[in-house]
Amino acid sequence: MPRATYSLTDKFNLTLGARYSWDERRYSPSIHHDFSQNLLASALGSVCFETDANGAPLPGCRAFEKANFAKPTFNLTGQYRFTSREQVYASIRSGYRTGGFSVGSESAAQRLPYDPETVVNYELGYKGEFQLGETALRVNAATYYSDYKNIQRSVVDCLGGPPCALVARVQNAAAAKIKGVEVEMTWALTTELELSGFSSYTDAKYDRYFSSSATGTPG
Amino acid sequence: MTVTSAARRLEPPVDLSKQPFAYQPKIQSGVTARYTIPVQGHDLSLQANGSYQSSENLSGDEAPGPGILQPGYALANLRAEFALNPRMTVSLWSRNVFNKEYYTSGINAFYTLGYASCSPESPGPTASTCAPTFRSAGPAPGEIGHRLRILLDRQLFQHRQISMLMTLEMRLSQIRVQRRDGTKQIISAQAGLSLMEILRNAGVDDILALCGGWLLLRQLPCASRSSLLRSTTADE
Repeated sequence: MPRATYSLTDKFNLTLGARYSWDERRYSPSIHHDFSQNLLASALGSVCFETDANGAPLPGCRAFEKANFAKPTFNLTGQYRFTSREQVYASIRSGYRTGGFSVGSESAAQRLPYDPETVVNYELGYKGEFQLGETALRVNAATYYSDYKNIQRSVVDCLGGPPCALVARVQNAAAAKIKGVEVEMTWALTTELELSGFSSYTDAKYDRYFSSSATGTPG
Repeated sequence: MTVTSAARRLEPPVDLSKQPFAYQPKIQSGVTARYTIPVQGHDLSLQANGSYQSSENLSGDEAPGPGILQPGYALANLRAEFALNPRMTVSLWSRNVFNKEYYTSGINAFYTLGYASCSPESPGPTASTCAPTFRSAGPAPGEIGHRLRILLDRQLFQHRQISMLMTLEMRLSQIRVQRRDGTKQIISAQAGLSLMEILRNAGVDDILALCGGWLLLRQLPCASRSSLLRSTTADE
C-alpha cells in the first residue's frame, strides 16, 4: 500500500496509506461427467453438464464469465513514542477480499459471481522493551475491533426449486464483528535461557448468517 | 455435484446470527522456554512448549449442538534445533507428547439424522514419533504420523494415489457417534465404506437412509468419487 509518514513532533508519527484495487476475474468452466467407468451407465459415455439459462448444454460444453470489482482501502496510524524503546499506537485500517466465482458451477444461476468481502479494523496497542537488572523484557499488547461485511462463505443453496438441486456455492452470506485482546511477552533471563508466552481473547460473533440456507425457496 | 431435494426438508436453514464463530476458541495461550547452548561452534536450542485453548464449536455450518463441542485442552510440545549454518537447521521434535486426543472438525446432524460425528486430529500412537526435519512453516499437530505413513505406503505400493487414499482413510479412522438417547460410542471405520455403511455395520440403526453419502462427500471431497463409484457397483 502506498503510504506517507509525517513526523508531527519528534515523538508523534502519523502514517497515511491508500490503495485503489481493480480486479477483473474471468471464469470458464466446463463440466462433463464421465460414465465410462460406471457399470450401470457406461453407455452414456461423457455427458455435458455445463448449461445456459434455459438448461441447454453450451456449445463446446464451455461457459465464459467475467466480473469486475473495484474498492478503495486505507490505513491511518498514529504512533507516539515515549522513549526509543516504548510506544503506543492507534490505527484504522480497511481491507477487502475480491469477489469471484464458485468453482464447479454447472448452470447459469450457479455461475453468478459473489461480491467482495470487506473489513474495517480498529486497533490500539503498546510495544515496549525494558531492562530488568541483568534481564531483558519485551511486552506487546493490543486490543482490536473488526467489522466484517459480506463475508464469503460456502453455503448449500437450493437452485431451481421446487424440486431443487442442492449445490455448494460461495455467497456473501454473513456479517460479523470480532473483538479481541492479545498480550505477548518475551523475557531473556540469561544469554542461554529465554521464556516467552502469549495469551489472546477473541470474541467473534456473526451479526447475520444463515448457514446451508436455501434462501427464499419454500422448503 | 448436485443432490436431489429429497433431503431438503430434513435440514432447514440454520440461523447462526449472533452465534460465535466455529473453530474459534475464546482463549488461546502458550508458554515456551528456550535454552540455547553452543556446541562445537553451532547453536543447539532446546525448547519446551505448552499451549492451551478453551472450548471450540467443531462444525462450521451447523448450530452448536450435542457431540460437536470440543472442550478446552492443553498440549505439550518438545523441540531440539541444531543450526548447521545460518541457513540450515536440523530439528528433532515431537508435537503433542502426551498423545492428547482432540477433535478438529465435525458434522452436527443430530437433530435431523440423530447422530453427530467428529474427526480426531491425532492419528494414533505414531503421532509423537520424532523425525528429523528441516525447519519449515510449522507442521500441523500429528503430521509426523501422516508423513511416516506416506513413506511406508509408497514403499509398499510404489503408487502415490494409493498412499494418498491410505492417508485419507487414516484420518477417518475413528468416528464418534452420539445417539438420540444421548449414549456415545466410538466406531472404527473400515476403509472403502461410506459413512452410512460404517455406522450401519456398527449397529447404529437409527439413521434415516437419506443423505449419508452426501455427508461423506462434504467431509472428504477427494475420496468422494471413488466411494460413490464403489457404492454404485456394490448396489448392483
